[in-house]
Amino acid sequence: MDSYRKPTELELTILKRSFSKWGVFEYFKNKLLAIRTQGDDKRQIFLLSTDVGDIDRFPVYSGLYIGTLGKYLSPSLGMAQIIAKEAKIFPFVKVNRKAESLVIYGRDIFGDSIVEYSVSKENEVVIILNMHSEGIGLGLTRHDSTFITTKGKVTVTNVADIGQYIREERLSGSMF
Amino acid sequence: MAQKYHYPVWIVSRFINIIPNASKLFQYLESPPRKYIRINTLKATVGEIMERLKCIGFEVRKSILSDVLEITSEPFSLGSTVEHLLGYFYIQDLSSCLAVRELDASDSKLVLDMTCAPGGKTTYIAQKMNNAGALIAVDTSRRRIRSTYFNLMRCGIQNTHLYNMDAIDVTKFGLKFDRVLLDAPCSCEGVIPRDRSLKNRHTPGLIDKCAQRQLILLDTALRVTKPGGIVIYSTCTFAPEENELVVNSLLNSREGIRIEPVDFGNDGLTSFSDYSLDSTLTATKRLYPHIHGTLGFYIAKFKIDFG
Repeated sequence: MDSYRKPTELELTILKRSFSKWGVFEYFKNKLLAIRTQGDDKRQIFLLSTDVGDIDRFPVYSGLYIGTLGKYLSPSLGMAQIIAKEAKIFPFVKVNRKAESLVIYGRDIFGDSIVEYSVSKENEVVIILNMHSEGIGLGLTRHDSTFITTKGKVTVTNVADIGQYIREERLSGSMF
Repeated sequence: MAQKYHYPVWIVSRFINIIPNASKLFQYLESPPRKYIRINTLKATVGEIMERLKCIGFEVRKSILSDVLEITSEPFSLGSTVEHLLGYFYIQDLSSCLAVRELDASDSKLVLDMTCAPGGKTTYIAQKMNNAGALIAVDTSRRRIRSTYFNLMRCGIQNTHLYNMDAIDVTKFGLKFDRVLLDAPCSCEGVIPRDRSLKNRHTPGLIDKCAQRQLILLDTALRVTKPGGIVIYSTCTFAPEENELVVNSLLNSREGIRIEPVDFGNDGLTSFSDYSLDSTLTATKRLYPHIHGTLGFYIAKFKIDFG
């Protein structure tokens, strides 16, 4: 059984730094967070509405999973949607409608389908936005901003997309 | 009718005895059920979603609930739309939404959903609670818990704590809840339009087995609810043995509980076969596909005076 605990001071510092990077520091101010550590030391972060620490049992899932904590917070899809909605400045690529329908089936992004982007480096995690500026996934840049719109070339790898909610629902195995 | 619609004779004779205008029901059950979506107002507004779905070719109209829409024309799968994947709506029958509406959980701090998978009602309760307080959601099936998890994520739910356990064990939490929803496992007669194989898989033995389990679950639900709290008992079956008889049995065996009126549907039965039931059961409600445009459903609302 996995248990949930409060973040340590050090973990909170890392989380605050990550929230700043993603432009959601204000949003997460005074929010209740919990950490679930699994056997392999993977620390998963959850956003909770209320402290239910008094319940003497271990839930399989609690609150909203917002990412995995390492040196930084690797955002989850749920977090990507919070960032897209709440943050003003954050790393992103915005794709056209045709690319949107490919992204939600797990496909990578061609440079020609990117209609807008933030300044980014190679190998940077970015939020994939659709034309409504909604977070439809997470990507990893293969090039920096100079080449990110290169025609006929995949410039952003699809790391996670909202289609996974349906694709993975029916698979067996770990939920995270 | 049994021959015409391919049902066992025993089901036809039962339905004729308990369902008004049963011949129309059999006819109605042959067509696909009406499709409804419940807008997740934690993430989007009803107007926005109506507009967006119309733009991509869906025909949509309002229902009796302000946050539930009926889809009258579906050019492609609703489930594959970006709006669905973003958690802006949940594909859910109107009857399920009515059960959650009756729970009246908006001001509740602690709510229990006893058989939560795959999470349709759970996410709606969380929405009614405005993602605040705590919603404890329980299900025995590991596989279905997985579906619930993905639906909670998709809908952006923050206030729910999901447990893979038998609902009978909720007493072990040592908690008293403001609201409890028991959408009990049942013989599913009401969802035949969705799964026609139920016509021939259904047996009288299944009804008895479900009724025994439902009695235990409902008794548990009533025991873990605070005085002043509400318990909603619902099923998706027409069988009185799983509906009014279960409720009647608890009303007779427990003190400090009473039936509150449910707003929508036909009155619950007060007699069935040789049984004469409590007259307050008219306040429970039955939903029929051919009358209400929903799946077959039953809703009873208990108020706990003391316990």
